[in-house]
Amino acid sequence: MSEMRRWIVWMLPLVAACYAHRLVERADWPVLTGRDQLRVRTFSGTERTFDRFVFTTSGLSGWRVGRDTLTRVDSTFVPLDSIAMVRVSEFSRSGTLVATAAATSAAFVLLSLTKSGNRPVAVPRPAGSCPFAYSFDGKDYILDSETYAGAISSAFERTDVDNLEHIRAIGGRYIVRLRNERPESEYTDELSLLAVDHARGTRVFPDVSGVLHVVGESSAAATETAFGGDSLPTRAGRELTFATRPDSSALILRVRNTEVAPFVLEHVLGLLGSDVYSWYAALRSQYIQRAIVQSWMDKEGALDVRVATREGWRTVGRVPDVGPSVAKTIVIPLPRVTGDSMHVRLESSPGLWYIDSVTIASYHGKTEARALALLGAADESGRTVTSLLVARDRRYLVALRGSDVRAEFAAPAVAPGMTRSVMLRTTGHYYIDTQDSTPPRLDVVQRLMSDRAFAQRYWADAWMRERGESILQLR
Amino acid sequence: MRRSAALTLAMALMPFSWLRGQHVAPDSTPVVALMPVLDNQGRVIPEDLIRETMRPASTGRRVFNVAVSTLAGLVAFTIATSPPQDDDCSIYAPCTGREKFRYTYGPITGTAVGFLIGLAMPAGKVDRAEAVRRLRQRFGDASGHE
Repeated sequence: MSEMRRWIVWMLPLVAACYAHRLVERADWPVLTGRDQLRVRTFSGTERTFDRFVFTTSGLSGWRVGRDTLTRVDSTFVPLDSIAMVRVSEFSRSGTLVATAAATSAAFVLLSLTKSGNRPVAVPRPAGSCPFAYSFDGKDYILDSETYAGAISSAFERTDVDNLEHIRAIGGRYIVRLRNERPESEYTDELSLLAVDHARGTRVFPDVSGVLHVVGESSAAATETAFGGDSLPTRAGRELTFATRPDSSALILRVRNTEVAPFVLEHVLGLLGSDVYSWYAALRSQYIQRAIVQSWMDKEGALDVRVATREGWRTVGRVPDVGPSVAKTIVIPLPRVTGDSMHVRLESSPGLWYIDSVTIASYHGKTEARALALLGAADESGRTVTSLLVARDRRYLVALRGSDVRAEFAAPAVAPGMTRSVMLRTTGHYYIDTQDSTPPRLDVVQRLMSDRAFAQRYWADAWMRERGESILQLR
Repeated sequence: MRRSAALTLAMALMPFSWLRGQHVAPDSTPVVALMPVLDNQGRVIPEDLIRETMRPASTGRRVFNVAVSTLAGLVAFTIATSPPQDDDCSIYAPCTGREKFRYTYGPITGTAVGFLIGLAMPAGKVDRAEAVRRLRQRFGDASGHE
């Protein structure tokens, strides 16, 4: 009841605005159309209300209209000379519309006040600078891949294959969102989903070049020790000892970059200042320039995987930049090693990598994946971009910050008795927005790429200024 | 009698209306005329002239009013309720439920409010009261010149 009363109180001003009440002068009585409600007071003090009326030369003829009849009821004649005052109540179309507009605005404000004013705790914004892929698990979109990380110009364009661990088939479809959440321009040539149906108890992961491998049960390292990183310059990492398996084996790494990796790339591009665009052009056209930068990124940025052999440490894999936001699982097939144990080193410049886990698994060989049909892709404004993403054809989806592409793929039934792994394959590159009006510091860039000792001290100082912590603490 | 029943009866009798006799007003009935509309000098303003002066609302003007007002409402509410530059309501810059509601429904509400105000704006209609006002003004000006 109190709710009803409250609504009535709210509605009263609205209803009041719908009708205009005014006193009508005698000269204007014949101007009235006879369709509005009229109230008449006579000199004798009698007051009458009419729904319909007509003023004639002899008097006012008025009547009430019954609610549910067409008949005139309570018809009355009032002589003109007995009328003291005429009041009319007119329906105001404009007033009603304006009042409705005001009520709509008020409802909007009031409804918003009923919503929660509590702000959820923010997740730290990823420092990575590459496209983020979100998998739809039937309920939410989960950040599942940070793809083609480190491909900071068209010269370094590359194809990345990532396991989508959270994706689920919903209504015969897989749904993926590709978002640009950073101040950069992302050029995606291809976006595809790969599916491998494999025996239960096995798993499928890509290697550093995107080739898929099947692995079986895995075991952890028997011993694990950290090395390096106590002083600069240094190479730092972990040395692990595994029991040698009787069959073929593979290393399964779950790693991601620290935030230092994108910090270094952004900082170098910032040092290039106004020369950054000619630097990009040189990377495209000059092989030697490209090779120098690529070599620097590999030597200083990549995670080297090395195995102890009789001849010494042998590099069996080099993991390029994978970004700091999502840990990536990578398989590295291992050579056969004699003896009961196998020694593995994961080594890089200090402070660049987080190693979430390292295990050794039985290796079942390479496998082929089938590409799932891209049913459709549309950007945040609803524009269809399917044709840009369906194949690697140098027709790019160009995504600026805020871009949000939703792609749907066919999800055929899993073969009986099998389980499925779904991988995202992307090809592309990106350009980070940098301060392109500052004077270039090419001398510094050149030394950073050629002098490891200088570079490590430079980055340690820069990181300390930026974050107030030592690079050597990042492990 | 209920309205529906009365309508049914009226429609049923309609085909036989030619059977009714012609009504002739008795000579003794007093002559009753509508009260005339007078100008400021007390002269009668003919009903024909009032009807000629009356004008319906212009459809073109109404469409223009509604279009402009709707657009203005959309723009105004969108600007008033749009999030700050870096606030994208993502997990990194989360919004309150209230902010989400405003960002989502602000433009829609603005469009509705603009549409209603556009409909309420005058579209050139001259109703009976306005027609009489204009005629009185015209006759008043004319008599002043005479």
